[in-house]
Amino acid sequence: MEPEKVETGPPALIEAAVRLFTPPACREYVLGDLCERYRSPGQYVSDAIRTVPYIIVSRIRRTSSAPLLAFQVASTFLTFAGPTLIPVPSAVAATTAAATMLMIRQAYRADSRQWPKGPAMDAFSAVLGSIVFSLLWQTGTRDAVSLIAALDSGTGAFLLMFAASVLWAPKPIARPGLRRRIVYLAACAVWATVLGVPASMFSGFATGALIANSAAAGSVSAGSALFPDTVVTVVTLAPIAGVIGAMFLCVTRPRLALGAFQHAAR
Amino acid sequence: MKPASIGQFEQSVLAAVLALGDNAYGVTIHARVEELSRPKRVSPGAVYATLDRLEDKGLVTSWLSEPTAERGGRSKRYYRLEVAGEVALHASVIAAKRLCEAVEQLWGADAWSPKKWKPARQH
Repeated sequence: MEPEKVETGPPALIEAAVRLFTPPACREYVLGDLCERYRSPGQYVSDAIRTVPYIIVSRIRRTSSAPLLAFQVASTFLTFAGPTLIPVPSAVAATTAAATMLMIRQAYRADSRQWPKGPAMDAFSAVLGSIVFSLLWQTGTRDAVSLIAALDSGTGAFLLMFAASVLWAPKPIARPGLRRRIVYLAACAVWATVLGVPASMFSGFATGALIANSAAAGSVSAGSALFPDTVVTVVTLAPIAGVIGAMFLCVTRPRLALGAFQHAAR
Repeated sequence: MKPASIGQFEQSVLAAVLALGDNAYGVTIHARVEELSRPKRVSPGAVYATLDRLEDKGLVTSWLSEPTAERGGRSKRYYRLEVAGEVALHASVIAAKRLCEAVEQLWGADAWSPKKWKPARQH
């Protein structure tokens, strides 16, 4: 008589589902620990539910960069609120959804950098997040229709791809000398132009937003190379981003800008 | 060296890592933290998140071991307390001791016996 097989690990299907939700950076040891604790399928699922959400939040905290997120939020907002003329509350909602998706994707990103698959997937995630959120939002407002139409036209997708592609810019240099800083600045400028020009050809009327994006992308990349300290980067870039945002607002929404100036003057 | 500021849960996790020595990894740290936090249950995820935070603060370091068959051929992530972690734990334990002494003065020796102890207002 053959000895009865003793189950020592979790069922493959459940383990595959847990594996799917666990960020790649922690997968190896978290799945190993869950496997070591395994007593029954129910206990395994309960342990996974009490583990994986914390891991995801912790990864988001560890992988998020304040300057990068600020740039992504600013450029995504300009994408929605600027050229497509979507009301500000809807644009804020869509931007929040897109930024959340980008943060989650960043948490799940493996170490390898693959161009152009990486930014394309970033853009896809952000657009998908915005569309799903817009569909839910649609029950409360008609703005979602115009938002989806804007995304569908390709404008939003290209701009979001551009926003997401900041991650794929030349890597910041550790302790750069003056000569290397100049080379790096030049590389950033070329990078921003190479990406910005074809994107503006496709997106037509969104050229203004792309120019603003290009300038901001170059500033973020250069800022992170010249001032590796995040705080210094934020402090340096905040006024630049403010000026770019104000200029963009004046060009695309002159009435709103005029109103804001009048309000400030009062 | 100025000690880093740590919370109560971080204190438990650091104490567990210190106590476990060379055998400090996810499963053992969680078991020890749960023992220290009794009767409160501790989720494994909270321990991982805290270990990440402590690593970012430079209080612990971690490394992956060789894969083992008992874990489906997967590695363990081991943790070790750094000097800064030990200093932070020491400072927080001193503060906790001062707190214990303060309440003992009010509650007397019964403070440490869960069966005998009663809230001061019921005395």
